[in-house]
Amino acid sequence: MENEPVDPRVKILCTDHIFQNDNEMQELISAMLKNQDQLIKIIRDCNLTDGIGDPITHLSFEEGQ
Amino acid sequence: MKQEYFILQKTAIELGDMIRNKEITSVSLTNMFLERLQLAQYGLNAVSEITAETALTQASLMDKEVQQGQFRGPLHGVPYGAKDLLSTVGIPTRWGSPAHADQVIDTDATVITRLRDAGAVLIGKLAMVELAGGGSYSSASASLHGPGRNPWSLTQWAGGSSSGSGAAMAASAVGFAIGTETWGSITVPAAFCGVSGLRPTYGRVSRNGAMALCWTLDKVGPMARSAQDCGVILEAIAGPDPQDSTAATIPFQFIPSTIDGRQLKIGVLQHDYANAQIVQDKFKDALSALGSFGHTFADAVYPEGFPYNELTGLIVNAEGSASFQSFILSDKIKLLADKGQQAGLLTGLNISAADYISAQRLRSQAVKTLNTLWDQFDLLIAPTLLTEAISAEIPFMEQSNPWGGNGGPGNLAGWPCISVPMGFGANNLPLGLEIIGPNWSENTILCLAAQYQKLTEWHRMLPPFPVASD
Repeated sequence: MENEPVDPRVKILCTDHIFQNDNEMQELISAMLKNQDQLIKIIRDCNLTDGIGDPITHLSFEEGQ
Repeated sequence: MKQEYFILQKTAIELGDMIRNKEITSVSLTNMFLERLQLAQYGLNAVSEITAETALTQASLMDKEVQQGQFRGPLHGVPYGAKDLLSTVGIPTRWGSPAHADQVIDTDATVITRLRDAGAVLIGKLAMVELAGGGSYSSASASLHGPGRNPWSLTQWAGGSSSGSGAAMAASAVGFAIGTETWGSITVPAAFCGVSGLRPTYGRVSRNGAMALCWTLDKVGPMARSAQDCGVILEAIAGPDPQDSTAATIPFQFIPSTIDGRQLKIGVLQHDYANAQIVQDKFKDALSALGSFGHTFADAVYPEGFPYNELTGLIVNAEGSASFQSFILSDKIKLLADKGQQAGLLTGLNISAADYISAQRLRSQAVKTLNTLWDQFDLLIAPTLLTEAISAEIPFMEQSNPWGGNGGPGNLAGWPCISVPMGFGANNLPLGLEIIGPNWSENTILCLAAQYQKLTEWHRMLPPFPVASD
């Protein structure tokens, strides 16, 4: 079976890192990047409208009682 | 029945009453719990540090005050344990992490200070999943202290990340415990261990001195024998704090009569019970019990259109990796017990600022939509999980238990909730009942849970470990 090409982002993340020569960790990171890509895609697909100044509640604090 | 067993079944409020009425001293109670905490340290992996010397000094002071007629409140002299992500002067704060095993933070978390002022006696720091599970962990072994074992069955997990808080409370090794939740870290161990665990509204309790995993999701809350205990503990720890600008400015007062004479409209969150028949049966029993107070129930579903769990996941990953960025980029990350967690933390650094902000933007819309549920219902209710405690020995991905869970939307919205024991499953392990409310509705949630506990004895039941000594 042909090996999948290494995700170039793994190399960037691991440059000068303790994982740079650790194949097992790089495989784990590659798998997790794929999962993370899926999360990001799902959120991007929600079609937020560009340039609308809607309030971002959880970057400030809202209180009630 | 042995005298010790009789005491160990007591709630924190009842223990406080015994101290006030001079039926027992804080010192003797502290010694009793210290003995059990040592058993929980080695038998359950539930303890990071036992603080016997300072505890006995504090307990002695509390007894002296009682002799002088002084009484600080319902927690006066009651021994407790704190999850080891709350900092304490002169006592290690290890965050459950092998990489932080020697860490001592030279400040007391606000919650620790407030509990001391309320008269509670800190007897130990309780074990937890390393870094509260930041980066996501793959097994119960993701902790400096080894897998958090469940006192109901030592082969099973206590849940996480507040593993030690759940296990020590269930084993009556503390009078009450403090846990924290970003996503499930109070409710899951509360359900698995058969204790009452309250996740307060986001902002209700100061996080000053608490390890930050996710600034916009982290909450600190009590784990105790009863819902009423959770109420008085919350009253002691909640309120404004100049050290934490996200802490609410309005103090919290526990009002046990909040729903007296009220008939609540409660939304029942829908789950697929195909592989969880016993959970469904126990849940029906719980609804039937609550129905006797006149509360009414109708089906509820989270509004469609938003990926609640994915939003929560991305936000936790991004903030968790930001919180530990220097550590992640250092050689020390290799010291973490869980390789998946090491990889997950590094991977989180790859989330762009644009995607994180988009997630927060979408979260605001999602929360607005979620809050429309409160136009129809006073509270929501569901089994906390569809499973009993899972194995502490097998990686999570290799276990096929139906999980269920209601935590993603509620944590995203900052909603408070409580998990209380609702009986036992097929393997005689505890099941949890979760009651969820709108922001700042802790009194309503606590009082409904207290009504349930008036009619049931599940919260009084003690596990076989450790056996009370003769």
